[in-house]
Amino acid sequence: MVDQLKACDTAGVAPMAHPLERPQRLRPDAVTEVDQHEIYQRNAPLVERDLYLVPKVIE
Amino acid sequence: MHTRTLAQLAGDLRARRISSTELTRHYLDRIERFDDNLNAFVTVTAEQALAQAAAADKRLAKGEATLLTGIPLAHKDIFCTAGVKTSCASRMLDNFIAPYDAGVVERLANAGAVMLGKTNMDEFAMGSSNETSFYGPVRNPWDRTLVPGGSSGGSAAAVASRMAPAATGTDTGGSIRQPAALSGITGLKPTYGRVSRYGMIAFASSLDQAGVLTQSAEDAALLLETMAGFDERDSTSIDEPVPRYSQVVGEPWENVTIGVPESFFDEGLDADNAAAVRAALAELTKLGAKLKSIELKYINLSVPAYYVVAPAEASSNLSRFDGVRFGHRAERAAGEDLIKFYMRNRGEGFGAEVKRRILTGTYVLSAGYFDAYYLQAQKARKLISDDFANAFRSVDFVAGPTTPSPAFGLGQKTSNPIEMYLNDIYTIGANLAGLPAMSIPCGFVRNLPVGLQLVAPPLHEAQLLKLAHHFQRATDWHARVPASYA
Repeated sequence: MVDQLKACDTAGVAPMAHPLERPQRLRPDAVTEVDQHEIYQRNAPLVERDLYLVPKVIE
Repeated sequence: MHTRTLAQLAGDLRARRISSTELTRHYLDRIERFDDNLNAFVTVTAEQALAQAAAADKRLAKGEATLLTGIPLAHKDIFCTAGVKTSCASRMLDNFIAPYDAGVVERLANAGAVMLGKTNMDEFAMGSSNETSFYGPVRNPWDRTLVPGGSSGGSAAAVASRMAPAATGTDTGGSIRQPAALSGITGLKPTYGRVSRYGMIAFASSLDQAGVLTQSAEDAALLLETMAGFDERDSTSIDEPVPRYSQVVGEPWENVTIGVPESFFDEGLDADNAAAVRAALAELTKLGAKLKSIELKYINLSVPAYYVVAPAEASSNLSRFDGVRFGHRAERAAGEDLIKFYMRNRGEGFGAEVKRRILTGTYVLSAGYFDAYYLQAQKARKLISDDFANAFRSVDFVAGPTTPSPAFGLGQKTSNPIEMYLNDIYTIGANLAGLPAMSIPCGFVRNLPVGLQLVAPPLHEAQLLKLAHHFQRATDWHARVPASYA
């Protein structure tokens, strides 16, 4: 299936980065998130003192 | 009551011929009665639905209702719903309670719509038959031995069996239009960016778009009017005014030219399905449309380009599921290191098709293969998109079949992924080019519904809906209900 793709002559074609070729919108560099860690951590398998627990990484 | 359209139900509610509570109970009863046979719902939110219905009834009594106040709907389980399990039909998210509402869910709730529950789907929307769900396949209401299409198969089956008057869905490569066609209902995928992706679990972010599965184009217009619009929480949301689709849809007919890509009718298409689509096109000419043969030169590259681009984006998007902050966490093995821990969480949490696409995606993005696969696919995508843009210089719409055949048997295509991928051959182009597209019922083949696909230029949803509505005023394919659910 992918051979078809490889056989296509795409010389000089710019790869498509956005379906409608619109520029990415910018927003002011300001903090908009509020602290909701208690809500989010309700879904976490293991939490201790507001921290997500994983197996030991550093011996 | 359940054969009435959204537009009719909205009228009934406002005239107080029925209350939202009665209507909601009626649909909850139907879900209770039929869903064991169809498996269209992952979660039914009966209690919450009745509370929303009671609130809607108060709003209706005060005369503060919108067109959707009190209307029950089902949401695909890909949309986050605050306080309600949002699984994406994956074991990975079987325990996930969404902390917030998706933009789509929020808009519909603010309008006063009632959520009946969350519908089944292919796992992470990866599939064309609704057979990759962790919760088992959805069955087609027209014949329960067949698939309803996918990935929005639960939404399609729920509407086709009238367990819900309408439902939301998402479409990355055909996931609204394809199940709509195979289930005999109307499906609309809007322009990329027209409807917010905020809170919609990402599969392939440059292709994903939310839309609707309904009984008619008029109903699709009604829902889209509320769902569409700018959302600053979605970085690719389009900031353009939203037309009053529900009013525009009934406006008088204009002269339109419909482009028909003849290559869509080659040997890949079931002959009877082709005949039904040709008959529908003939019907449109009777209504005043002109048909024009067109060529989409690169459309044959759409399936391979899609199955490079979509897995590439999926492999990146799905890397967030690690079992640390949320999602499936495997039983802890003693002395296990972090890598093994991730591997077991993801290994257990994801199903086979999701793993296949993550592996494909990481492969096409890897250093030695990036140019040959991913970049080449993005170039092919540009050629496909230009094909459509060129076609729209001389035609208003592009039309053809939605699927290669009517619904197929459960298990019939699961052993051959390529055969399954080819189900999306007619629908993928609109996703790659970001275009709005619909599937509307256009006839029956061996007693099974098939769809006519209509594609329009960017942001031409109003024209698309109008064309579909005029077709539906002249035909009754869209109003047929499977005998067991009539």
